[in-house]
Amino acid sequence: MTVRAWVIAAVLAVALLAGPRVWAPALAELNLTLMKLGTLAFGGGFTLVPLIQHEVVEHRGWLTTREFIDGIALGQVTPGPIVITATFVGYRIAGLAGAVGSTVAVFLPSFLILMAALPHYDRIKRLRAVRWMIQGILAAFIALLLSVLVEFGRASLVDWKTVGLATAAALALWWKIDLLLIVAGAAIFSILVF
Amino acid sequence: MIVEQPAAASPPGVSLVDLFLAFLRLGATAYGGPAMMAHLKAHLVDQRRWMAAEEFAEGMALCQVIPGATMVQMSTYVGFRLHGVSGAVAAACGFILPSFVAMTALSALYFRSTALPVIRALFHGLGAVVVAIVLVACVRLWRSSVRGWQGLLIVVLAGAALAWHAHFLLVLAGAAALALLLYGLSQRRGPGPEITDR
Repeated sequence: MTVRAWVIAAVLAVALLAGPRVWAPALAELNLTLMKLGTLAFGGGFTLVPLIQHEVVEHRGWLTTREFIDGIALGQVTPGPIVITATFVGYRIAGLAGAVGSTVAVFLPSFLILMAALPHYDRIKRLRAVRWMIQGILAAFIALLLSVLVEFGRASLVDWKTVGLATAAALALWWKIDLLLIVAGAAIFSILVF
Repeated sequence: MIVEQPAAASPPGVSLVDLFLAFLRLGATAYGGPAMMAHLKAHLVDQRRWMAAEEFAEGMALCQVIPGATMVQMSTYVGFRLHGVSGAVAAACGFILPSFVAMTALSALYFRSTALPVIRALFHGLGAVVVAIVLVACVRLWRSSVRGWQGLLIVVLAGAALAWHAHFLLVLAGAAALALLLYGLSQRRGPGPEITDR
C-alpha cells in the first residue's frame, strides 16, 4: 500500500473511534473493541464468535447472551461471513450508524493486515515459527469456544425439545447437509412446537 | 460481463466497476462456508480467467495464516492482484455489501419484533441450532489444528487459565509462546508433529 492509502486508513480508524464519541460513546468503545478483536480472528473468522461473547457480551454487557445467539442465527440466513454478526451488535448499540461503524471496524484490521503482509508473502510462508504460534492460538481458541458452548447451551438448551433439536442439527451439520436447509427445518419446527 | 480471454497474471480491462459487481454477485450468493471457496475459484479462475490457479492458491495459503474471514480476505487479495489497493477496496466492499444490507435489515426487524410470540418461538428453536453450529465448529477446529500432545496440552492449559478468569489476550499470547516453545523443542529432537496447512 502507498503512504496515501495508509493515511486514508488511519483517518478512517480515527473517525470510527472519535466520530461517535459525541453522540454515541458506547459505539466508539464498540468500534475500538471490534478493531481489537478483528486483529485476533485467526482461523477463518469463526473465532470472532468466542471473542465477541467474551469481550462484548460477558465483559461489557452490551448485549445479552440470548441476543447474541439470535444475532448468530441471523448471520446464518444472511450470505457472507459469520463475522457480519458484528453488524448486529452495532445495530443493537447505535442503530444504523452503529451497524455501519461496527462493520467497517471489524473488517478494517484484517484488510490492513493483508495489505501489509502481501509484499512479504514469501518470507511469511517460510517461517515455521509463525505457523507454530498460530497453531497454538487456534488451540487456545478451542478452549474459548468450549466455554462459549457452555454459555450458549445454558441459554438455549432449556428442555428436552431444544436438546433434541440441537442434537439433530449437529448431526445434520456433521453430515454436511446444507446449513440453510437445517435452519429452515428448525424454523418450521420451532414455530409449530414452541 | 464474462471476459473470455486466456489466463494472464493481470488481465487488462478489469475495471473497478467490473470488480465491484463481480464480488457483489459472489457476496450475495456466499452461503455454505468452505464450499463457497471452490465456487469463488471456479468463477474467478475458470470462468472469468482473471487469475491463474497458482496465484489463487498462493492467496489461499496466505489468507489462511492471517486473521479475518477467509472469503473476504480472498476477495481482497484478488482485488489487489487485479487493480491494486483500490481494487482490493472495491472487491472487499462488493463482497461484504450484500451481507451487510441483509444483516442490517434483519437486525432492524429483529429488535422491533422480539415481543411477538411467533418470533420468540422461532428464536427459541434457532438458539439450539446455534449451539449445534458452535459444537461442530469446535470439533472441526480441533481436528484441523490440535496437533500432537503439545496441542492438547495448550487446549487444557488455556481452558484452565480461562476458568481462572485470565484475560483472553494473555491466554492467546501465552498459547502462542508455549506453542513456539513446545513445537520448536520437539522439532529439534526429532521429526515432531506435522504442521500442515488446513
